[in-house]
Amino acid sequence: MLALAVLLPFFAPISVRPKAGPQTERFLRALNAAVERQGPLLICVDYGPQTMAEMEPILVAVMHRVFAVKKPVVFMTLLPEAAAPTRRLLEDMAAKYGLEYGADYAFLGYASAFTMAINAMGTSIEDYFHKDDRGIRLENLPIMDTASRLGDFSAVIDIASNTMPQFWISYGVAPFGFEFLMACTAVQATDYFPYVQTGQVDGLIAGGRAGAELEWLLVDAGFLDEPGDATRALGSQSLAIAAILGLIVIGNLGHFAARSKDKQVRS
Amino acid sequence: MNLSTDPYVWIAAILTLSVFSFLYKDNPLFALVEHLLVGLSGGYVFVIYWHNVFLPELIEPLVEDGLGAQAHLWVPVLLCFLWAGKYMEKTQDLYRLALAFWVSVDMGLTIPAFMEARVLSQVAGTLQVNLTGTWDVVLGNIVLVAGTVAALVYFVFTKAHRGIIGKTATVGSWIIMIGFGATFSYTILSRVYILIGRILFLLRDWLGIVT
Repeated sequence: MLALAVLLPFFAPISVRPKAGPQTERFLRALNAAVERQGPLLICVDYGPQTMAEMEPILVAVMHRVFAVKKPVVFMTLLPEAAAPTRRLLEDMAAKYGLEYGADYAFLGYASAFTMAINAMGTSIEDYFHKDDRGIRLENLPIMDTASRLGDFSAVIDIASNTMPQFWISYGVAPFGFEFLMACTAVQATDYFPYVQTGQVDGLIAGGRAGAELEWLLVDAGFLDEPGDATRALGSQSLAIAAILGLIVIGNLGHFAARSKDKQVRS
Repeated sequence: MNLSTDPYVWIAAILTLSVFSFLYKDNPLFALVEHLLVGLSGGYVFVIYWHNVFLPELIEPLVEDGLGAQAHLWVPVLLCFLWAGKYMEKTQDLYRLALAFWVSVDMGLTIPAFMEARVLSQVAGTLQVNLTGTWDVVLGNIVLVAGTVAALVYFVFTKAHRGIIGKTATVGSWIIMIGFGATFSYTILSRVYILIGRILFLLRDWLGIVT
């Protein structure tokens, strides 16, 4: 039944345009402000294949926003399995926007021992990363000329499906104090809302639904021609949720009916 | 229909269908994919570590700059050997040295960082709520403070949950339940996304039925 609910909207599309919530608007405002500021952006990609369906559309939307104005972006990952999908996405984006490696973007690759990595990058990136993902020394990358530590980036964005943002907040934001934006899966949303409330996180995209909101905001702003996969999934998502709610109601009705029948038999 | 001609897409599609076959019942195809996943993940992580960590951070500096030029690099090498000592009977106690080193460094980094980010900042954020603004913002802030206090009271076990403490603890338990409910519904959202991702892959990338 759930598979059917997910399948149907791909053949009979349900038009869903989500209203952007305050969290998504705040994220985009913070992202726009970071694009305007001096210094490259740092995007840390921390999701694996298992959460790609939810996280990749968010990363793609952010990439379109920043690369449309050729904002220099440095990429890295704290998760080994995120390296290959990031390389693939960067190749697509470089071809679409005519980006030059080293000047418009760079991929530092995988950083092991994430707590040490974040801590070390707070004072010197070259002390931790000697070479990028392609084996090029950091001093030979023009994009790194103005970024020697985390505070030099206009913002740090973590697109994560794990607990990495908590480590960015603890080992990065708290001691070094830089602008921090993040995106997470819906499962983690309730873990990160408190950090937004305290101002430790400057913008949060919580799950695919918020990703769809971001896509529509970017369509309205002219950075995207049409909404992407996050919006496309909303039809299936809506029907699946309706099916689950229906099953919960039916299950509860069945439970109460059985209990009442049981009581009648006993009395 | 625009069937993919990419062999990698076909392999991924067949593996996806093999995993879905478990919905019918456990079968050899599913077991094969399970073993493949474990083997490939281990191999992939090893290759990433080798190319991104061992080669550029340890082996290349030692070879290029000379074995004695960067003496500090011998510390992690020594720690690695101490860890490996665990697998031989005569040297198995040596790993405790490496473990002690790791725990002490990690504790030194973690305790102040977590106290600042997860305790002090969160407490300050809860205490410094703004009670001015529109009515919905003020109400939200009051619920935040009252809800935090009530949830904390629920975990006070040194006093019997009677009277005002009992009533506050009951409110706290409701707050916690609402939190669990929100988390559960968000979890369903995420899990459905995983299914959507796989079905979209099969329909678009493999079968080419949808664009």
